Amino acid sequence: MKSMGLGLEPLKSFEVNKVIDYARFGRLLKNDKALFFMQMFLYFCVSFYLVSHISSISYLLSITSNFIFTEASINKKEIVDGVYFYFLSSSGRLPTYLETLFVLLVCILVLFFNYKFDFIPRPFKIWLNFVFLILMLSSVYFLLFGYAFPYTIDDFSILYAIAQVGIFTLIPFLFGFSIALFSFSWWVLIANFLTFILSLAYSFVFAAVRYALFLYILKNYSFLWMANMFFNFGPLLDMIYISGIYGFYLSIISKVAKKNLRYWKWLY
Amino acid sequence: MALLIIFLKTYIMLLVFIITAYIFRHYLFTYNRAFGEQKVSYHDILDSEMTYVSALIPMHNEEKVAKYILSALVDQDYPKDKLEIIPMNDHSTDKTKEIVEDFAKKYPFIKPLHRLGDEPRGKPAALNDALKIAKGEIIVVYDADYIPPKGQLRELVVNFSDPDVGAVMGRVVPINAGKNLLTRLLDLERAGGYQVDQQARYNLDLIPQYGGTVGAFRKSLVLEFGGFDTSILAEDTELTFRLFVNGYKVVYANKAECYEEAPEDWRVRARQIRRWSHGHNQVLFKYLVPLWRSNLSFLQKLDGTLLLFIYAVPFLLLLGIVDSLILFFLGEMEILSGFWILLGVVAYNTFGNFAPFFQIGFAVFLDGGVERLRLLPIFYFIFLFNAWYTSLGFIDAVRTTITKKQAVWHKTERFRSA
Amino acid sequence: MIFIFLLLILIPFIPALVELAVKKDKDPLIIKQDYSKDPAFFGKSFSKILEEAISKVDIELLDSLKSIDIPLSSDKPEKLIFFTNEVGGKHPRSIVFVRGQESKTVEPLTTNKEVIAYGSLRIEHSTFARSMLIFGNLEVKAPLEVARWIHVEGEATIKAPSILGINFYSSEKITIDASCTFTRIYAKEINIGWGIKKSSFNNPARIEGNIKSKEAMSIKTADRSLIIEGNIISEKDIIIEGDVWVKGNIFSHEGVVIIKGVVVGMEGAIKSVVGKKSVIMEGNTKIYGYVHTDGEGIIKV
Repeated sequence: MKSMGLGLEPLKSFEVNKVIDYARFGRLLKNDKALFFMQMFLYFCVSFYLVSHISSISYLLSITSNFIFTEASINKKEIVDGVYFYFLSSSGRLPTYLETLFVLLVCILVLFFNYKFDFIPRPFKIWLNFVFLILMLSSVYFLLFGYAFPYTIDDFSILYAIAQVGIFTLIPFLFGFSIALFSFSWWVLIANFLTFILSLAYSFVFAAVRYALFLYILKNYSFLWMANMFFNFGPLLDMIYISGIYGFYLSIISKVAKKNLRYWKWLY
Repeated sequence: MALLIIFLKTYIMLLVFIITAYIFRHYLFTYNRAFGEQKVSYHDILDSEMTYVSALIPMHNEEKVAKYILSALVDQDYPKDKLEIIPMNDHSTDKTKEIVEDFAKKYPFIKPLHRLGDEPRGKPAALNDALKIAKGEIIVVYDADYIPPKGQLRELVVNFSDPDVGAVMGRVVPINAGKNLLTRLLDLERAGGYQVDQQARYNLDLIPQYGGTVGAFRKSLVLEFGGFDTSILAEDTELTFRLFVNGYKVVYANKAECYEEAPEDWRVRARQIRRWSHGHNQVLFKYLVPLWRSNLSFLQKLDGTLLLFIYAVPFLLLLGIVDSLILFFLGEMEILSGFWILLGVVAYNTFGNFAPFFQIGFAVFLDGGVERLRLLPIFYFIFLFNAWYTSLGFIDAVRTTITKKQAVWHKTERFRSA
Repeated sequence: MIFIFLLLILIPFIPALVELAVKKDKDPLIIKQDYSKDPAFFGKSFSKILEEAISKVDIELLDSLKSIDIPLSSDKPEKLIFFTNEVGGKHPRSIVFVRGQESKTVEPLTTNKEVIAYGSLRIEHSTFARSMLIFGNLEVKAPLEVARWIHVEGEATIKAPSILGINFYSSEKITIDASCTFTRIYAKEINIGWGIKKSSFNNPARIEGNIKSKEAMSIKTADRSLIIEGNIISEKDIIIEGDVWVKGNIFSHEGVVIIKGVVVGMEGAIKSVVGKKSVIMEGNTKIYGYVHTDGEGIIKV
């Protein structure tokens, strides 16, 4: 039978308001496949653009960091045929015997106190243990084989810059893939794009400051800290701002979407 | 030395491959929950002729929570002539026995099982004993800290209308979500695990997991399998794989939501993760080969393998860190000479760790969470915590598997105040 | 430099730290602890709200009123207009309340709100309503369109093409003898058409236990009737035609078609026919219990 088409309002009667609270199991987000693919295409293009301009990006990263850490010069290396990668070049130093011993003692003390006392929440304690354990290993290494340390500041610098450019180029693709999922309204597209720009910008600033700081430490406070720069404060740390921005962005769109029935559909 | 370096580098590459598989899995599941066709359980069936059910509640020193679960089960709308409740008082030294007996006096369908003396303690052993006296063909299990809503038994049991269903699993929701940082994070983790992960696995006809609580199974099948293996701490995961390997399936009933009490103390949480990991890895050692020899589809075998390895991966990751440290001090940080490979290895580090949060974020969004989504970056600190205790659980599992020593069941401490 | 670096690490945590301090979104997800699946949910809930609202009005005054504003929901008061035995007309923004024991429509009736009948109601003219709460019997002889739900305390008979909303409940019996669309129908006995004869199941073939298939299945009888003692479950379509008596439930993740002669369930019990994407029923069929689809429900007579 054909509807008499009296143009009812969307479901707003008392029973629906009640159902919404209890219908998480069948809740689905409306989406627009065209908008999703459009976004993905855009993010893919940006990603592709960044990949094809690796030299320029590495140069931009280097001059920005150089602006903060002036005791370095910009150098370049051919990484793929005809493609040059720019990085900051400086001279570092090995730790002295005394400072290595001092750091080792501090590490042992921190690890001991961490083991003995329980006033720090356990996840932070484990994280601290991890940081100081790596520092302790580093100290032991430098006490025993410091003379054979295989890296220069330039080796580290190249590795760091490559990693960071890798993250820049992947943000549009992987982070874009995460936010493009939300395509239920035009304003979400704007929110998505702003979030995407923000994450790229934050990533760049963060990378540049960290680059400068790491080189500053390696130059002035020795290679003793290099292991931690790789294992604790390297790419793993980028996860913080990516998940922070993602969480904040989600909370904003969730606040709006939650109040609007038209963005949702149910299985029944 | 050169061989060692090749070995260490190969291991790192293998690890990257494994993590990439898990990244893909997180994204696939989230996209499926967002865009895919959603499969629901059999809860729409209304049937006045419900089957006889035995509701089992494992209890060891549960005086803080016992009365809540018993009251909730007494209040169920399930026909009382088709229901028996068996609280399994497992060597309790507090007032659990008295509370259970009080209820049993008032309600004849509550039939306590007191396990005392030399009987081995632990959930699988207690379940085996309860199965001997349970009259129901369908066994529903709730941990003692759970509070099921009035209609939940029916919602779980109706799924057995399908003869292929061996077990059914509901959704767990922490009632003490807002208590402290730990419970808030666990609340988010649970959302990701159920609203997206379990639902997507059910949608895709993969391996949704029976979780040992807010769940039910067919007694005849478990008895046919010879009961629960008391040497395995994760009887739920074991049953999941036993069922699938033997051609049965597990239904995930996203609608059957039930409150639980999440651990409020990091030490308790650490013990819980370690026990889960211990049990889960025992199942990995026992079922990896049978899984691949079974008649399941390739995708089910693949998903089953990824599921089996989920508590082994953190240990492999920690080994990876040790591996990388050795490579670092040997001056071999460039895993392979190729620029693109290095770039990928480093970048997976960031996004490999972000992928689970993508899944959690979307699940909480579906649940209607708002400000709680902002807690996501705090998971950075939980990463190592989880990795550490899961790895200890893995080592426990290796030890008990090799020595054939009986694993000790560590009960999760309760926090509810009267 | 260190300060800027630490600040850049800290900034992503600030919203998290604020939330941890303010605890704005700390409550657990709401699980309705008294939830119990009830096909009469809509009607019962509405009755309860109506009862509470009306209890605030003087009963003697109520009998003499033609209309009244009552606080049905928290938003704003709803207008209730009263009829005695004859009802009709356009009342887009009002709830229609029919007081008589035996009432009928005398002209087309339209409302975007609920229609409530204190006794039985006969629909003799095309009618449109959001929902209907009928405390007696309902007889539909002219096209009826209901957007949400119909709750009938007595028997319901549909003899004209109708759109039966998302939930059609009768505490007694539903007879549908016209082409209709629906989502959920519940009654102790649901008859599609009039023609099922008990004699159809003399000397039947029998299948004990459940039938399960991962593929589409079709069950059709020719010379001899068939009794299936258990449930029929399929991942794909289920088509049943002829003198088939299914004593259990029928469930398909896709669609269910039951045609001419099929009986589901038995007197005194409630069984279900669930087709997640569609249920099509063609007369004459009989279901003791519940028919459900999340997709398209079609009755062809």
